[in-house]
Amino acid sequence: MSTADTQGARTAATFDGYPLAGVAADLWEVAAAELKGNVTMADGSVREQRLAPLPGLPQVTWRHTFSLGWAHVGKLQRAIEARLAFPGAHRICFWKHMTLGYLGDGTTAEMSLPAGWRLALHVLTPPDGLPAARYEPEVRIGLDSLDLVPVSHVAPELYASDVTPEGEVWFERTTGDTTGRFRFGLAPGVDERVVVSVVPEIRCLTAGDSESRQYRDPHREPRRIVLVEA
Amino acid sequence: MPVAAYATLRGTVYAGQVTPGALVTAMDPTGQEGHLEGDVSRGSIASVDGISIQYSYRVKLGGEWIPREHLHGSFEVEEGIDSHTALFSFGLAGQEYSVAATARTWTHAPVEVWVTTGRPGALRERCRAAGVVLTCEQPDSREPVVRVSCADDAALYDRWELCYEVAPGAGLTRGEICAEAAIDAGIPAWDIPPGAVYQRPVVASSKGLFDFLRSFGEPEGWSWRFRPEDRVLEAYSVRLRQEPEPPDHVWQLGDVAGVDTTPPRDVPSRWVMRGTAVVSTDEDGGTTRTTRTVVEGLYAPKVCAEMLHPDGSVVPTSAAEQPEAVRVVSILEDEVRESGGRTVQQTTREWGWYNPAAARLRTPGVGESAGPIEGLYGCQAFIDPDGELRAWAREAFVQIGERRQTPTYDAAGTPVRIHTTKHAWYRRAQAVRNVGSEAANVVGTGVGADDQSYLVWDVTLSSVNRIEGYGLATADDVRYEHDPVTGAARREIQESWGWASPRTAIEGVPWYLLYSGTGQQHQLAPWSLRGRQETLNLLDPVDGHLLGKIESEFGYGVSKRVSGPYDWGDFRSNRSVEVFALRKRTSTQYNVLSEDAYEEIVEDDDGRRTPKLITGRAPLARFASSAWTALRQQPLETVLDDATVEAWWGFARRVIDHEYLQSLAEARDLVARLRSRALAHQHRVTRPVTLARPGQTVLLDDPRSGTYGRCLVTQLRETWQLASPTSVMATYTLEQPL
Repeated sequence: MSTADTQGARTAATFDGYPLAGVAADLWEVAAAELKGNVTMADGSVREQRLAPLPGLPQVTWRHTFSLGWAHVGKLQRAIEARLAFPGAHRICFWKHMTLGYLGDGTTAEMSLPAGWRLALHVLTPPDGLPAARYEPEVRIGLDSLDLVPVSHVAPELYASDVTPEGEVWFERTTGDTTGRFRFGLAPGVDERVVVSVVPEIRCLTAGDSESRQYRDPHREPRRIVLVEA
Repeated sequence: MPVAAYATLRGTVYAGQVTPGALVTAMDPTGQEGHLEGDVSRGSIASVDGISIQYSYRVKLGGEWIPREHLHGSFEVEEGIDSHTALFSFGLAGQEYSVAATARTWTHAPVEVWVTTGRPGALRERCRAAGVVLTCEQPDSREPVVRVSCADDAALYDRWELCYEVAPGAGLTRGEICAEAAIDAGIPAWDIPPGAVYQRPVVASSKGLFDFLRSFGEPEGWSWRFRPEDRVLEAYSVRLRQEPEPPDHVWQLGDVAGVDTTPPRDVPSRWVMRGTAVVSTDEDGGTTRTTRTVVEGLYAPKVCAEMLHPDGSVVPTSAAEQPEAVRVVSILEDEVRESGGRTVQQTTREWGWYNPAAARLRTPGVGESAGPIEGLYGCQAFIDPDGELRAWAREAFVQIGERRQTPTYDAAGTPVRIHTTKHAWYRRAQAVRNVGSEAANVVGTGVGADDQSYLVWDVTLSSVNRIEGYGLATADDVRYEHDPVTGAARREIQESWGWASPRTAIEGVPWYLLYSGTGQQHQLAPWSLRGRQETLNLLDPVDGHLLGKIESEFGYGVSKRVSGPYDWGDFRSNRSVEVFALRKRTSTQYNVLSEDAYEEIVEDDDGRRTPKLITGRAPLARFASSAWTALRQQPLETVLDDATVEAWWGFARRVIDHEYLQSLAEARDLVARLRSRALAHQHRVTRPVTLARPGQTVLLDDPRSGTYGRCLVTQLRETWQLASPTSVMATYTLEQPL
C-alpha cells in the first residue's frame, strides 16, 4: 500500500456522508493556505514566520479551501442541496492521503490530527467498493524511512485504558465531533521527524460567496461547492 | 554595568537549552588570571533569531486561559523609557466576551499574555505582558469581537496620590525613599537600586506616585516599569553602553526590514538647570558676627556745677560746663557667635555717658563715733543739673550695659535652656544697723537720695561715697521641656536671679534694718534667686496644639495677720522673714471658635473667670527643633552652552527647574543626558520581534545609509499577527547620540 493508490481524482468525494459519485465534477480543487508570512529583510534575505503549533500538533498549520464544480450536477442535486440547506459544520472527504509532519521531543507520545480532522475510515465506507486497506494511515519515523510503524485502530475505551505496545501506534476510533488522535508505544525522540499520512474527513464551512451559478444551458443545473476548513 | 574583569570562557553552548544562559561555576579565586568555566545557552536568543521562527501567544484573562480559537486579530504591546506603563491589547471573538455578557473585558481583571517563539522543536514560552484590563472596544459585527486594552500593574497605582514626606538629612538613599513611596502606595515588591544618599527633604503630599518616582529618579537616570515576569516594580538605569562594554544587540541589514531616520532639529543651545541644595554647616568651625552701631549727635555731657558737703551746704564747683557738640552719644555692639548653624552666644554691649550715684549719708566707720544726723554722717556728692547726687564731677563715656544670652541645645538641636545675664550699673541694698541696735553699726553703708541704704563701692575725695557699681546685675534662666510625642513645649520655667535679701520683721529678730526702716535678713543683699515663673502648657496629645496653660509665679513674700507676733512696720505677721513660695496661679483656657477667632478664658487665684473673644488664631506653644527647622538650602544653577548647536539652529534656551536635584554634579549630569537625547539621530527600525527592551544598547550597522553606531532603545511597539500571513514585527525607536 502506498499513497500512490490515492493519487489523482479517481475517487468521488464524500460530502456529509454522501458519496458524490455518478456525475463527474468538472472542477476539483484543493487550495491550502499556510499560517505563515515571509519577511524580506533589508539585505534582500527572507525569513519566514510561522504559527507555532500546540504540543502534539503538526508543524505546519494549513487552512484548506475545497472547491467542487459541476457544469450539471445531475442526480446529485437533491442530495447536495439538502445538505447545504443546513448550516455547518459540513464534512468533506476526498479519499486522498494528506501528509502531516510532527517533531518528537522525547516525551510526547500522543499526537493529534489538525483540529476538526478525523480518519475517514472511522466514519465512512470507501466509495465504489474500494478496499479500506488503501486508505489506511501511514506512519513513519524519519523523513525517508521505509519502515512503517504498525497501526491499529482501537476503541476509545481501550485507547483510554490500555497501553500502546512499544513499536506500534494506536489511532483512537473517532466518534462524533472529536478530533482524531494517535499514540505511540514509545515517544519519538528529540528532533525525530514523524511523518503521518492520513485520509481525513475534514470539518468545513461553506464559503460565504460559494453560491454562484451561471445557467448557460437550459438543460444543465450547474453547481459549485466551496468549502473552507473550519 | 561596568566591565569588572576580562576572562576566557571555556565550555559548551547548547542551543536548545531552555534555561537562560548562565555561568554555572564561579570564578576560581586561586588562579592568577581570571578563569571562568560554565555552560552558556543561546536558547533565549535563538528563540527569536533565525530564518524560520514559529510564533504564538496565549492569553490568561481573569485567571482562565482563553482558547486559541477565540483570539482574534493581533496582540500588540507598546513600552518605552519615558513611560512607566506598558500598554498592550488583543482581540477576542465570542458571545461570552461581549461587554453585556462579562465584566472581565472592561474592568480591572488580571491578564497575562504569554508568547511562544522559537525554531521548530525548540520553542520557548515567556510572559510578555502582565497587568490588568483597562477597557475594551466592541464595534458592530455579526459576532461580538472585542478589542481589549490592557496595561501592566502600573495601572493599579496610577491614580494613587502620595501622602509621604522625608525629613532632611534622614540618611536615606534615593532608592530607599522610592521604596517607601512604593510601600505607601501598597506595591508589594520592587527592585530599586540604592542610588545616592538624598540630603534634602521630600514632601510628596497629593502627588501622583509615578509622577513622583519619575521626577525623583530622573537625576539617577532611572526609568520605571513593572517586570512582566515577576510583577516587580523595577527602576532601571537608562544609559548607553560605551566601549569597552559590548552592546546588548547588534543589528545589521540581515536583521532589519527597514530603517527610517530622523535627524535632530531645533535643539536648545543653552541648557539651564536649576535646583536647590542643602547647605552643610561645619559643626567644628564657629563664626562670629559683630554689628557695631555708633550714634553721634549733638550732646553736652552733664557737668556737676555744685557739690554737696558733709555739713549739708552746697557750694559751686570749678568744673566748666561742656559745650554742646557733635560727639559719640552711644555705641551698641551686637556679637553673635554661631557654630554648626546655631547661635552659641549673643552678646549686646552698650556704651554711653554715665555718672554713678553717690550717697548723701554714710554710716560711721570703724572706731568712729555716731554721726550727727540720726547717727550718720553727711557725705560729699556732686550735684548734676537734674539735682541728682553723683560720684563724679562730670559724666564719663563708659560701658553702661551688657546682655549675654547663652542657649543650650539638646542632641536634636532644640534650645532647651536660655541663660541670660545682664551687666549694668546697680546697687546692693545694705543695712545700717542690727535690729534692736540704736547705733548705725554697719560699716560701709551709704544712703542714697531715695532714702534707701546701699553698699558703698568706694570713697573718693574726702567722702564721696559711690553707691553704684558696674557688674553682674541680674540673670535669667529659662528652661523648656518638650512633649516627646508632639514636640511642643510642655513646661517653661523661668528663674530670675539678682542681688536681694528677704525682708524681715523689724523687732525681735536677729537680722538687720535698712535706712528706710525695713527689715532685711542679710546685712548685704546676696546673689540669690528672686523669682520663678512656671508655665505648664496644656497640649492636645495628638498635634500639640495649645489648649490652655497654667502659670505659677513663685517669689518671696509673707502673709499679713492683724494679730501676728511679728511687727513688720506697717503690718504684722506670723512669720519673721519672707519665704519663697507660690505667690500667684493663673489658668488660661483657649476655645477655638473658628479659623480666625478664639475665646480666651482666664481664671485667677480667686476663681474669677474672665472670658475674652479674640480675633486671630489661637496661640501655639514653642515646638522642638527638627531637621526641618534647622534646614538651610541655597539655590543652584548650572548652564551648559553649546556653540555648535547655536551655529546649527541658532540660539534657544531651555530652562528646567528640577525639584529633586541636590547638587551641581547631579544637575550637570542630568543636563548632559537631556542634551545627549535631544541631540541624537532617531532611527525607527522595523524588524521581526527580538528580545531588545527599552533602555538597552543596540549597535546599528546600515551600510546603505552609512549608519554605524550605538543607539539607545527608547521605545518599542510589537505586533503579533498570527493569522495568515503571520507577521510578528516590531518597531523600535533608537536614539543615536551625535
